[in-house]
Amino acid sequence: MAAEAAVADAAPRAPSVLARALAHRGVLIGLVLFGSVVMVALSADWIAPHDPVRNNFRYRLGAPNDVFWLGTDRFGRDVLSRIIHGTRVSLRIGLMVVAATGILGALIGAVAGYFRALDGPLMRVMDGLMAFPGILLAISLAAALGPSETNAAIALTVAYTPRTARIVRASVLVVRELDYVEAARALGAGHAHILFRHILPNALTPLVVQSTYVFALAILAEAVLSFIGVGPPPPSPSLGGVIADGRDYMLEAPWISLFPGLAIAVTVLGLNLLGDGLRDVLDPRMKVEPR
Amino acid sequence: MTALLSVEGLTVRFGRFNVVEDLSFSVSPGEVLAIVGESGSGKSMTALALMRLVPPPGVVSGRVVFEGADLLSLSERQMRDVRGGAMAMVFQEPMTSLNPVFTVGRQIGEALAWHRGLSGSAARAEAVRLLGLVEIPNAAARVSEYPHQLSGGMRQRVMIAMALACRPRLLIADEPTTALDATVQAQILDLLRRLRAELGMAVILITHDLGVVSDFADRVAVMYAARIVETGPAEALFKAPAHPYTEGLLASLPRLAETADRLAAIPGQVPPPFALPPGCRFAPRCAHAKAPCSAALPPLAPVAGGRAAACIRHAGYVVAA
Repeated sequence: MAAEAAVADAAPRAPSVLARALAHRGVLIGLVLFGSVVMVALSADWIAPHDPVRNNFRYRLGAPNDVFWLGTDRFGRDVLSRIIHGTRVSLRIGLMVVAATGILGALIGAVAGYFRALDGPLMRVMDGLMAFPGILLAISLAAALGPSETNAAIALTVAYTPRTARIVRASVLVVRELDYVEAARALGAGHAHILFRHILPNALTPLVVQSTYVFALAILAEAVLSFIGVGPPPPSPSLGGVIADGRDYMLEAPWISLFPGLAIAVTVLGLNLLGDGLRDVLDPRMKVEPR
Repeated sequence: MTALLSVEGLTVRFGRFNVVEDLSFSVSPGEVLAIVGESGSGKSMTALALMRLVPPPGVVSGRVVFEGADLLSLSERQMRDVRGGAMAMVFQEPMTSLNPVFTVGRQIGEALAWHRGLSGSAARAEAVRLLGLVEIPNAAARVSEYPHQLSGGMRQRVMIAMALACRPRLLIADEPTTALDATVQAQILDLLRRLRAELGMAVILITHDLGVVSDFADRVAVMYAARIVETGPAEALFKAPAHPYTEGLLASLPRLAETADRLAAIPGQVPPPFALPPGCRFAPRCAHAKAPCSAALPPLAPVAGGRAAACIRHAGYVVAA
């Protein structure tokens, strides 16, 4: 007995998920990139050198100089300040979409995976939504709902929830057959308890990874929505909106579209690196050597 | 004494095939019944059927009367109160039968919350007491550990503690020691024996290990290909097995005293439910098989010493051929 306990205590503990994640180069770079974008968004009010919505017609389409570091747009607004504030709008939409797809996707996926009778109907609806290309669905919904930040988030949520639900369902299908679920049932647990306390917490790992991709997709898609004019309405700066502002001046003033495009690229790259890295770290089948 | 559990004609059917067929037995309060059989004989499915946990599309029929109520006719809601309450189960695989994301204390606490309405510090104190009861050293610290921090034997103790949380009158232990080391097996069996004596609960022990049965069980039911082939008091059954299958099982036990080079084995395998031979299902593997064996399924007939066996040699048959 005592020996048994001692052996259990002496067993080397595997390094925690956090430690393994931080030792992963992709996770680290992704965190730094995405983290800087988040910092910029959070401190936008203090670090933006100019008012992002203040017109200044004397400096219309000004090239980058020492006052307007990244130049000005057709109303003379400072591109750098608009990008800084734009990250805020883009991240806000991304966050809303991630939260909404996460909650909806987890609920739908869990219910579909657990209750066999609901699996067919729910997943056919999801399949129906998935039959449309996500971005096309989002554009038509956003156009139908009218341009606003919330509507863009709603449209993107509808577009990306089916994929998330499918991933959670697959994961629930695996976990529901595990012994401890049977054991909980044998102790008298009800369906809701089994699903939400025993199955879902053990089935959410893929959702974490999926969320980083949805975040990146949402930011990209928001840019598309704004670019074609169904995103958050002007003058509020979103990254896609700033790109759209420069659309007609690509030759004379390429900086207007170029720099917000780079900002999106950095954000999405960071999120994707983070997601790839997390998948490596969280997937027990992948043996991750610290790189 | 009235039976705590009485099972009549229990049948579990998957599609066209019976994986458990026409099982009848009873368990008195405080009694230990061992259900013995090879892999695939239907013993685990029997356990699940008693708890009404047979996975779909399995269909259970017959009567399972537990403390006066027919479990098969209870609503799912009422059945949930029985499970983990008056009737609890310990599973075969301690390594995977605990939820990895909750501490041991919280998992024991769940059963306490449902069936006894305990929560918070009361549930925790009771969990510590239960861990002590199953002889886990330093229970007060162990209660806040996660399953991965415990060894297999420890986890099985935790599973037993969870099963005992609501003082069940009947504990179903489905091969509780199969996945454990030999030394740990002995400890767990000692523990179960002690707990049964202390708590006075009845135990249905499901196992393929006759060694486990011999010094724990009061009565034994031997299953073969979905049916009970022999049942009786453990001692009498071991001393003079009445069914050739029981005989074969006993003969295949390794004995230290004998210096045989090979172990006696029963030739062949348990027939799967979709390829049952006609008549007695053991006949193709039986050394005593005669022509009438394949004619009809022999019923469970009484044999001397309070036993019953499903073999025509005891059914007073007259060999016609």
